[in-house]
Order: sequence, then C-alpha cells, then structure tokens
Amino acid sequence: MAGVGAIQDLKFRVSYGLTGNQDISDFQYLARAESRDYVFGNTVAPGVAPSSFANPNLQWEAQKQFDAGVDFSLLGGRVNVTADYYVKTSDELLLNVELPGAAGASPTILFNLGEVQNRGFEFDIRTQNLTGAFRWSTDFNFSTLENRITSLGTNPGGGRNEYLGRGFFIAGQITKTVEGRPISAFWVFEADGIYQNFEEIAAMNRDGSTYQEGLQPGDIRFKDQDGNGILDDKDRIFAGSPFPNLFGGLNNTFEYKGFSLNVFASFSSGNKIYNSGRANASRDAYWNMDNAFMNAWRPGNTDTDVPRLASGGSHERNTRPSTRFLEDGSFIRIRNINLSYNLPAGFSQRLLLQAARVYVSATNALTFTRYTGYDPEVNSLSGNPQNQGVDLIGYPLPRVLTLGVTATF
Amino acid sequence: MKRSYQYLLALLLASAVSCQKLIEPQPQGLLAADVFFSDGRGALAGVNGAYSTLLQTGAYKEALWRLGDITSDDTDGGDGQLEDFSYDENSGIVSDIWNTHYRGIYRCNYLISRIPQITFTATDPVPPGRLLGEAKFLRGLFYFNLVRIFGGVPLITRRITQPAEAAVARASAEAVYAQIEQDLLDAVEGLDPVTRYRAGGEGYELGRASRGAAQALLARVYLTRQDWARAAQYAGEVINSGHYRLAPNYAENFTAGRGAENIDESVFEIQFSNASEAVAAYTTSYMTVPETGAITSGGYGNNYPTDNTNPPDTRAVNGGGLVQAYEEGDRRKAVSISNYDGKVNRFLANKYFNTVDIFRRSAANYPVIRYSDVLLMYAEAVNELSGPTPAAYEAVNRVRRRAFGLPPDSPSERDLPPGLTQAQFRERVYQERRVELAFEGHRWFDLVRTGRAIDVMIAQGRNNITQNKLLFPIPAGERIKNELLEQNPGYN
Repeated sequence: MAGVGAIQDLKFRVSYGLTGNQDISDFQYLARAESRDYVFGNTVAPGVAPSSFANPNLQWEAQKQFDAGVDFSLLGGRVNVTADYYVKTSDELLLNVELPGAAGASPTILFNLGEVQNRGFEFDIRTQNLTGAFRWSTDFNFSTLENRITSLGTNPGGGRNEYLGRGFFIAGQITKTVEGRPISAFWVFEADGIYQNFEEIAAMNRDGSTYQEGLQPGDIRFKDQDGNGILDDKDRIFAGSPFPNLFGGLNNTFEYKGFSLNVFASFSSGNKIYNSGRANASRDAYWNMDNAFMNAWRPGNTDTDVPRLASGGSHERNTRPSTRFLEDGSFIRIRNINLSYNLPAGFSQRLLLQAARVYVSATNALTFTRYTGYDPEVNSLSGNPQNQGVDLIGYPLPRVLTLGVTATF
Repeated sequence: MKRSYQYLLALLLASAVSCQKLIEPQPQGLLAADVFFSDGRGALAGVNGAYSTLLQTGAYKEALWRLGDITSDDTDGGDGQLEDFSYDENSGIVSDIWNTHYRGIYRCNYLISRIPQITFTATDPVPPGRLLGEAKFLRGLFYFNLVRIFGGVPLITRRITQPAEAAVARASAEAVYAQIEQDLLDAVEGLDPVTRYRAGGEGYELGRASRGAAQALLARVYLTRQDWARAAQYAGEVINSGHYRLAPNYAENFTAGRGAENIDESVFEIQFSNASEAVAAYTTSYMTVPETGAITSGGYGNNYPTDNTNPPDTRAVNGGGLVQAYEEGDRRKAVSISNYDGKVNRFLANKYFNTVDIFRRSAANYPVIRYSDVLLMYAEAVNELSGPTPAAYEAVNRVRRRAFGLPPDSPSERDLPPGLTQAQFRERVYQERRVELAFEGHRWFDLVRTGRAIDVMIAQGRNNITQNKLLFPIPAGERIKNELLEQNPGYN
C-alpha cells in the first residue's frame, strides 16, 4: 500500500445476496394419490387412494446473506488474512408441517413458513513462515457459527409449530426444533446419578404420586425439573446443540529440496452428539450389550454410573433419551498426511522418465476426540433435519495408507 | 439495427408459444388425485382404496382384534397395557387406531364428494349409487369403531383441502352416532343384496359390502345405542331376506384362507390375502407358536384364551375363563381353541390357525359380521323390547343346534329351556355371544355396551379397571397438533 510499508494490501468488502432453494421432491404442490390395494376372495384388487393435500401456494425458499469482511496482507505478503462476518437468513423455509390425524391424508404437508438464521465469523490466515531452502507455509482457517430458528409459524391447530426428532430403535423424542433455539436442539432428560436405596426412590415422590413406576436401587435417577413429583416431558431440558460453534482447519506444508510434507487437520467443537449406538447397547439383555455393563450397579458394586442389569421395562426406562448418552462431539482430526519426493531431474532422466514423484499418504490418520462412538463426524441427516446430531451408527471412516509413484513420460 | 430488431421479435414470438408446456408439465410416474378420480373406473379404484384401510395395523390387521379381545375377560397375551388397563395417551395402539380410521374416513369423504362430479358412462362397471353406498358403509364402520373406542370424536364429513379444516373440536357421541346412522341408512339404499355379489362380475366381487351388511351393521349400532326396536327391525330384515344361512359346521367359517371364504353365513368379513404383507393378516402368525407345527406361521402366542386352571404368569384368573365357558359337547370349543395335543402348555386361539402361510402373510379373512351374530342380536333386542318371544328363542336355538352338531330346524335337547324370564334369557344370550363370537373382537364392546365391563373384569381379578378406562384416551400427539381436542376423563 502506498505510504504504509507494513501493509501490502488492505481491502474492505460488503456484500448482500439472495438465492433460492427448491430442492424438494417434484409435484409437492399437487394433491397426489397412491396405489392401495384391497382383496376380494384371495385375489388382490387394485385400488387407489388420495394421499396428500394440495398446496398451490408452495414457493421457493429464500436465503438472504449479508457479509462484511476485510482482507489484508502484511510482512511483504508473507501473512495474508481474510476475516468475514456473515449473517445468513433462510426465509419461507420449506418445512413439513404435521397435520392432525383427523385430516386423514399424508401426515405432513410442505408449507413455506419459518425462518432460520445462521451467523458467525470466518477467519483465514495464510502465512509463509519460513522461506529459505526449507519452506514452511501454513493455512489456518476457522469459523464460528450460531444457528437459531427465528420463526416456525403456527400449525393448523393454532399452536406454535415445533418438530420432534427421534433416534433409532429407542422410543421417545431426542431433539426438538423450536423457535429461539438451533435446529434439532437436544431435548432430553437429565440423568442425575443412581438410586442407591429405596429411601432415595421414595424421596422423589410428592403428595402420593409415584415419580416413576417400578423403580429399584440401581436405576438411574432423572431430575425432576419442575419438582412436581411426576416424571414427564416437562422434565426434559434443552441440553445442547448438534451444531459446532467453532470449526476449521489447519494446513501445513513443508518443503525441502525435493521433499514435500503436507499435513492437513480439521477441528470442530461446541457440538454434542447423541450416541444412539451406546444407547441401543444399553437396553435389554436380548440385545448385545455395551461392555460397560461389566461394571453394572450391584449390591457389592455401588460406586458406578452404570445402572443395574434388568430386563423389559426397567431397561427401557433407563435408556430413555437423557444426558447419559449425550456426549461432547468436539474433535481434531488429522485428515491427510502426505509425504512426497520429486526425483531429481538427472536421476529420472536416467530412468528414461521426464519426471517422477514418489509419495506416501495417510488419509484419516488420527482423530482426537472424547466421543465414544465410532466417528464424531456423524452422518445422521437421513434426510430429516430434525435428526441432526443423532448418531445413526454409520460405518466409520477407514484409515487409508497409500503409496504411489507418478511418472511422466 | 433493423435485422437485430427482427431477430429479437422472432425470438419473443417463439418463446410466447411454447411457454405453457415448459412451466406446467404433467406429472409422470405419480398420480395426480384430481386427474385420476375423474371417471367411473377411477372411482371404483378409489372405493377399493378406501377398503384398503381396513387392512392396516390400526384396523383389522392388528389393533382391533387386540383391543376387542385382550382388554376383555376373554383373552390375554400380546399387549400388557390392554391386559391390565394401563393404557394411556401415549400408547401406540390408540394413535394407530385414530390415524388409520381417519385415513379411511378421508378416503370415503373424498369419494363421497367427488363421485357426484364424475360423469359415469355405460361402460363403467359399477353405477355411482352403488359406489356411494360402499363409501358410506365404510365411513359408518370407521366412525362406529372410533366412537365406541374414544367416545365423541371430530366429525369430518366433507372432503378437506386445507389442513386447518382438520383442527376441529370433538363432536358429541350423539352427533357421531347420528352421522353413522345416516350413512348406514344411505348405504342400505345404495347397496345391492348379497345375491348380486355371489353372482360375481367386475365391481361386484364377493366380499364387498352388501345391503345385508349395512342392515346388520345398523342393527349392531342400534343395539349399542340400546334402541331395541330398530335393532330388532334391521336384524329382522337380514334374517327375513333369506340370503344368509348358518353353515352346517361351525368350522366352515374359519378356514384361515385354506377353504371357501365369504360363505353364506358371512355378512361382512375383512378380505386378506397372502400375496404380500401389505394385504395379509397377522392373526395366524401372532396367535400361534412354532411348537404347534405351524413352523412357517408360528409367532408369539398372543390373544390366548383365559383359563381358570392355568393362571398364566402372574395373572391369576379368579374364574370366568374362556376355556371353561364352553359346555360339554360344544363343537365350537375345538374350532376356537386348542392346545395342539398337549404340545403347548396352554390353550391358544385356533380359529385362524394354518401351517402353510408364512409369518405375517396370512390369507385368513377376519369376520366382522356373521349371520349367527345377527341372530343373537335379534334375540337380544327382542328380549329387551318384550321379553323372550318364540322368535327370539328360535334365533338363539338355531345357533345352539348348529354348535352341538344338531339339525337346525328341529327342537333339540340343547335348546334353551322354555319359560325363562327376561333377565335369565338376557344372560343366556350374553353367554351364547361369548362362545359363538370368541376371538372375533366383540367381547370388550359387548361388555361395555351392556354395562358389565367393570363387574366382569374385577370378578376375574383385574382390579385396575376404573370407570374412565371404558373409553380410550385421545392420543397425546393429536392433542399437541390440535389444541381443541379435549381429553377423556382420567387421562392427561
């Protein structure tokens, strides 16, 4: 920059844009019919039944994005920084609204309603740390994210809309999508230790009500949030978000003579994951069980956080959606380590090659996380945004080691 | 300049012509309801689609046979909440029944509003009046099940197009019954006698609702409402039509898909087929176990009869077991229950048994109304109206003679003793209904409509029954989606 030697480049940016999204199945605006057969005698009789309401007012989702940023570079171009603040509002969201059962047609209908806001900061810092014979450059980027639903509209019955998401095999809701919170916020019971004796169980009752049927010492205590002596959905709390509030990557490249080493890592933190896999392995004994149950509560082994072994109803109770299976989903993952060597020109020419390169690379080399499931990058969408952050136990990412040669003739 | 102006004009004209097709393509690979239901054949397929609701788990595939029998003193096994009256607003069975029946009602409403708008031609297999009759019969049946189970429910009789129209409050039970009555009376007018369906033909398949079915269902509705005169009238019309007769062997009614279905004793039965699970019955699988030799259809032993001598698990039965309800020599016992030559340690339901159909793919039709039921309804109604008349006696005696393998037309030693009082005759009819219609989903509804449910269940040892349990709770999920729905007493 003229006049300021220290800063090579300084640029301020502001942008605003509008895009649309209409990525839903075709013909959702039409009233559709489906094949529904009956039988007469033992012969199947083809039948057709109307299956969904029409919504002629269906339109695009609109996304408005506002972005303000600054780019600058310092130290003769050795440090380049890009910083942005963004606010992205999605409007006229295409959401499935649940219809009352009395409507009789498909249980949901697609409406435009609802507004979601994503906002945060993004930083990208690229530096050339060493520029001699041994070169080292770094690219570090990170973003913050706050996801919040600003409006969900009202349902035909007049109530505020809310959506419940569930896990897999486990009965009961795990997430709740409501105004003022992130999409698919975790909405679970709070696990609060283990009942050691019947006195502790009786202490939960009020005015002759029974807090939970059939409790015994060794069962999990769920906190009575409203203190009314009955355990029901009013005792659920919002216990976290499936969205990380900080994520990013770090890419380091080292070069010396013909060698080149590239290490790329990414990280993510602030999100929680509901470990459906561990929850499923904590159910009744006719399923395979988590080996944590070697340490189950027993009269001689009471200092544990694993509940007693039981079958039938008790286990269903102890595995109800709760903070017991809600884990921190933060991780650092070394995604790629790539070491390559370009053979010197003289050497490769003796092999009758124009150029040759040898390399070894490891993909998904290392993951540091406290999450006990297979993979903290859960792939849980299954097409339903209300189920984010619920680990549907996808196949874990393998670690891959590749050795190779690239030869140019 | 002039040239480019011409090109531009040409381009504009060209695009104006073909825009429509690009912007509004016709759906391919899926059915647009308004396009499909616009001729006679579409309407017939629509009526078949309405019948199809009967095959779902929330209707006769599963929920209704469970609720009708397991809740009562007749059977246990397969639904702990029904057995010990711990069902609540979160129970799966209530939301399944609710959603399935309203799905059927929606389909019927759609047809009833759409059919008058369709132009029928001479090549259409079935005239509109007949199709409307079927839709109204089905709608009456759906609402009848709903009102008996839940009490008053949202009464929706028009085709809804806006979701907001479905968020209505519950109508009174009286209003729902009035609608059912009207629908079934219209069905009686619109449907053909069963003889027309026995002759067959496209759109006249045996198994469809017939005039006799509508009359018999109407009789049952009136009996439930304790309108004895009308119950006797409509049951009498079915009897006097001469179209139905008792099969010589009780077993002929229950071939579980192996023999003749829709026989002359059948007034209305749900048609199942083993072609696919979607159209198949679950009765065979769920009510039997592999030890019976039904290797391919054996399942969970649900819906087993209560038994005084073999209190199963911790459910001690203080008498009143179904196994003991059969008299000596009653051939219905072996048809209805069996312990398979001692291979099983308790009696199981036998009416839907076969060893051939694979699991959850049974062809066993489920009886909704049989002619013997009509006879018993007639006897009960006449007795309530004017005490046991000879006609009432004869109706019950015919059922009994058939049950003991005796000729139907001549008096026998199994006939009811003459000179019974009204109260005694009433008890005999209730008892006869129990053994004649066991495992057909009647018992719970019979106990409730005659005011005996609480006494009978407590006598059997089910002490958790309370007055409010005679009605099932409105599903919790529905009350969240529609805040106008009030809950039945005793539930959240």
